[in-house]
Amino acid sequence: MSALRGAVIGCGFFAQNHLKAWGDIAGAELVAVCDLDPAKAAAAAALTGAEAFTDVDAMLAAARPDFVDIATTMETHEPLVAKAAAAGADIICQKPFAPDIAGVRRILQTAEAAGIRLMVHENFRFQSPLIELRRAMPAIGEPFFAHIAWRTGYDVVAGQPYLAKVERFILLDLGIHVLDVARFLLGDVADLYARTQRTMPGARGEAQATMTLRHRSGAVCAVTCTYTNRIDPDPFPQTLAEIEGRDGTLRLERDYRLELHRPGSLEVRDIRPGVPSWADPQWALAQGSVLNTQQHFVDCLKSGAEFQTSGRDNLKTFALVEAAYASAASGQPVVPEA
Amino acid sequence: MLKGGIIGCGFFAANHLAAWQLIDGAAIVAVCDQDPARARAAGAAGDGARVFDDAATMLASEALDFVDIITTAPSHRPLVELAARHRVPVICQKPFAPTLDDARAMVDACAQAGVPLMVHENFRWQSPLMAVKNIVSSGEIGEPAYARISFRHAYDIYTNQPYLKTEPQLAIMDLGIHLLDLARYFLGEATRLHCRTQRVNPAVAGEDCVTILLDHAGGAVSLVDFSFFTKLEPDPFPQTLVRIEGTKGTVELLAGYHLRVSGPGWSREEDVEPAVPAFGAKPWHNIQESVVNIQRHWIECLQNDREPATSGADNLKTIDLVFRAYESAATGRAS
Repeated sequence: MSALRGAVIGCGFFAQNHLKAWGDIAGAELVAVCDLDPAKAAAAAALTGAEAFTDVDAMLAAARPDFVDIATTMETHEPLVAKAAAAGADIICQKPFAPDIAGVRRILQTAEAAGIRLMVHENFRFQSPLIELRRAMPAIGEPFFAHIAWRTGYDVVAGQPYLAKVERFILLDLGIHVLDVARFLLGDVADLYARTQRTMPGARGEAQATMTLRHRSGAVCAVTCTYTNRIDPDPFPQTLAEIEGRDGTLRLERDYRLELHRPGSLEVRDIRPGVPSWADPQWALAQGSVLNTQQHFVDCLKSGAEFQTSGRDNLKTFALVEAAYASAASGQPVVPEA
Repeated sequence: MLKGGIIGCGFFAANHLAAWQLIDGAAIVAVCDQDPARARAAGAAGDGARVFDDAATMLASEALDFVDIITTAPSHRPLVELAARHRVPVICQKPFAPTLDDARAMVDACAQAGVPLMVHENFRWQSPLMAVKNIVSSGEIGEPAYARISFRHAYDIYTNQPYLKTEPQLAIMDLGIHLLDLARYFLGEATRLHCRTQRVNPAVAGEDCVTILLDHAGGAVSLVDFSFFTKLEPDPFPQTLVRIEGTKGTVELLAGYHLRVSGPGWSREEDVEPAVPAFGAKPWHNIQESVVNIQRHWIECLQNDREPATSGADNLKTIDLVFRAYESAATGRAS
């Protein structure tokens, strides 16, 4: 089978990782890059060798890609999905899918009506340390408790200044990843209780969220995230996790130290992610996961297998974000909608 | 010399008795247990204290300056009221009461009798936790915004205290009460609470894994989580692990009594492992040291006419959180 022909829409800050990763993906090649800003489009074309466009309609008509990779901000996802679906292209779309769950549902309907395939670029569960953690779980027996923490003081607003202005801040930007990891590790969620705090001076939305989830399995999971933890060394961008089962405990500690505790034994493994050839070591974790995410997309397109983070699956993750905002507002636990 | 009487000579009383021997200004002159053999054994350990099998008889026949009640919760109210009638100051073990009504009645009885009442809520007298509190109070980490207070282990607590196996209210009443008290101690009064309980160990009747979120009056949020079925090597029992994040820095009490304080570009570490009391042994030294500390605090308060830090009135707020936690777990609602 020949390589699938892809186009990247949106060539901003995080899209640089997508652009570089496409060069390493087996079975796909980039034929077009598109950004409203001609300079960004030209730079992306120079990086990838694909053709530059500043207009999506013109790009879809001229390049006729097999798939598009939408790496724009969430407000633009709905119209861009509609255009790509109308052109018959399969889609991988950055998270968060849409500003609210109604938008997510409309996007899914558009894709399903057009008969194209849609995956969300939900990349945390494609981080190799979290994949390793998931793989190690059979050793601890039935899990009953987990604690998943993403706590940093890294200045996220410096790279993405719009984040200071959004009403929905860390839950939608980062919490969505950690909640997806909770589903990845422990399955679907029966109900969720959340507290949010506006801890970042100058930011409009919540910069800290603390949640407990009851999973359908009966397991309980505490999910915590913050952008305002003053600590040294700062573990950014690592997700730390504890999972306790009837037979043992797994701990993903700082610096990718995976501990397996069982009565009478402690096994420790270094599960540091590999660094892609083009990656900056500080960003290797995220960049490696982008590579894994995009490879999964292409592999599933070719094999016909279901995406792990299909649009339909991601609706369940998004429902947790909505439940968290609703719970924080009402002060009561909320049953997620989806 | 303040003369004390002990009521209840079971498993944990051995720590109280040994600690009293280390404290200047107090002597145990009488011990009491419904089981005469246990009372005699305690009397022998307590340097020839007089031995009773009935608390009313002991209080009627001895001129005591205080009693130290080390029995289970349902017996506390009649014993505290008995002491109050004799106008004798009271230390009462935790859990203070099986109901909030009982707790209030005991506080009122002692207030009306004009005698001090202290709950033996000893976790905040553990020196590693006092070190954490000192850092928070000093302002070094700024205004606290988040805390995790955690106590997870699989140590066999059931052999020494077999009644725990059949308690329908297990982990919150036995241990969570301490951690909820610590949450108040570190972050101030709780304004909202949500609690999830699980029974993981099939051999016990009550909850043995609990996950609580609290809002505090100052705006901070805390996660209080504990489990009696968590397999860890080495098992950190009986250590409470703490992380408190403030606007300037973070304090962490890590396993092995390792205290870490840090903020952007700075950090320092300290070994805060408590000394092992002469009567003590690892891993219990942490608890044993706190028993000495709280009993010394009691004597200083009696001598100087001060209110104990964990007075009955203060402890009403902790025990209220315990009952609200059970209620939240049962209803699925926050309160």
